[in-house]
Amino acid sequence: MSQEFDPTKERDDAILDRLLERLSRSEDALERLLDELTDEDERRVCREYLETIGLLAYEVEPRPLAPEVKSRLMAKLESSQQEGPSEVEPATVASFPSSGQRTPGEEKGSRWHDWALPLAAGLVFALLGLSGWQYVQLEKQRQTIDRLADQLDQVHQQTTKLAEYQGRLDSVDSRLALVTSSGVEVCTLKPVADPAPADSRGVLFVASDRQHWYLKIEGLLPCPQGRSYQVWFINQEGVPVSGGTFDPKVGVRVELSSETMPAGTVAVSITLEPAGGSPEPSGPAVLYGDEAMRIL
Amino acid sequence: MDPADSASPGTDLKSFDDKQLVLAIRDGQEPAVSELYDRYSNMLVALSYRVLGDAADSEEVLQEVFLQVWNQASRYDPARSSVSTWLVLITRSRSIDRLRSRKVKERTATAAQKENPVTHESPVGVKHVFRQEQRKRLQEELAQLPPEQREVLEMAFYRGMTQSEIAGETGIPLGTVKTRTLLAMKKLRKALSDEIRELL
Repeated sequence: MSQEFDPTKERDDAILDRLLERLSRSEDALERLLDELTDEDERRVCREYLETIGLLAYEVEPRPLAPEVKSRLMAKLESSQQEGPSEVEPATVASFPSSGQRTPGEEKGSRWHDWALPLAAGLVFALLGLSGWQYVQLEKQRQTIDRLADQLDQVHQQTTKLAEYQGRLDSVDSRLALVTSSGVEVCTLKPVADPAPADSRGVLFVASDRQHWYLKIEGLLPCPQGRSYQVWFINQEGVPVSGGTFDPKVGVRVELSSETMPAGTVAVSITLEPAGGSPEPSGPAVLYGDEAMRIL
Repeated sequence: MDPADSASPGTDLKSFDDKQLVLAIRDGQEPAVSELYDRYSNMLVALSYRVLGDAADSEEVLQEVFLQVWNQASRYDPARSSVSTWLVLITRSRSIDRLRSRKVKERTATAAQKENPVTHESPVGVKHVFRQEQRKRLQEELAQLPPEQREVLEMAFYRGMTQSEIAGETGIPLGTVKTRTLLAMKKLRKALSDEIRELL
């Protein structure tokens, strides 16, 4: 029997699908998906899956590290803190003694400073310039890659949606084939008890092979807490056989179908049962139908 | 994060939560990096090692990660992820970048498998990150996944492979790869709902 169409589940799957598509890309690309989602529920779902991905790393047993590893890191941090400003501030270069400030005693021994220091300074600036240029190029390439990846994502989403639509179309096709096949019988289910609103109804289509069936139900109220509706096929001896359970949501049409039906079915009943269903009807019947009509 | 939560010199950083530590790092406090390192380095280097299969490389990645945290702490957004997930994602990305540049995927995978993690001593500080029983629970949840679902999840997570690449390497149809990965992630999200709630 097919499941009830659940738009929330499809939305969650679509978000997860998009997140998984980005799993091969940078951490930014993964987190940026959150920025692209505007709906609060969608963001929550995305965030939960992102944290799930983060938790995966805890599967690996931790590895011990030598204290030197941390010492090296802290030394790097310290040097980066000290070197950081000096890379951009010319004050460091200017602090070296200039030829005008040179004392007579220094004159002979420091002549190489005349060309070595300016050369070193020039090299430093050239290297800084080159590094800056390379950084800009790298950033541009990253942006291009991310942009192309986003486009690929969009194409993929469209392809996924097309596949979904194709799936739904196939489902509609098969139901249409059933309800328009020759020898198809139609049985109307009508409300019979208080839990069912007066305008609730169901229509059961049974193919000529008496096996394939399709049931459409409208207007039933959502189940009370801990309860679900259960479909029963009843044979000539009055023995009920369960056809499955469902829990309708407001405004969502319930559609059930299957390729098998108990032999000798003469009536269909829907009852309110404990969640998960009962071995035999125990709750009040809400819809019932026993008059089948051959329409084609 | 409230800037008022930031550490002042002399504050006991051990009492800080992860977000407060990142805030302190943003303010240029080196001891906060040291504290964050103590909490996460063993786990992160293990993750990098699992990807790269090389101890020296994974230690270098660890250095890159914490340098990035130091230089880009202002880019951390608590609305996007927890600190631990942020660190995991950075470590994973840097490791996979290095893996791709080396192009020695087969060798590293073999090396990683040869490593017997049980022989490691339990490192100090791990209790700050994730209690051992919780780790076991996660391992159990992963062990409960059908092998085919676990396989595609590991290829995506540890090797950074796209779903098309996984389909190409395993010979499994792309749709099946997607379904298996989706199912695995959905099961884990459900099974780890308590842990996720703590991180949000």
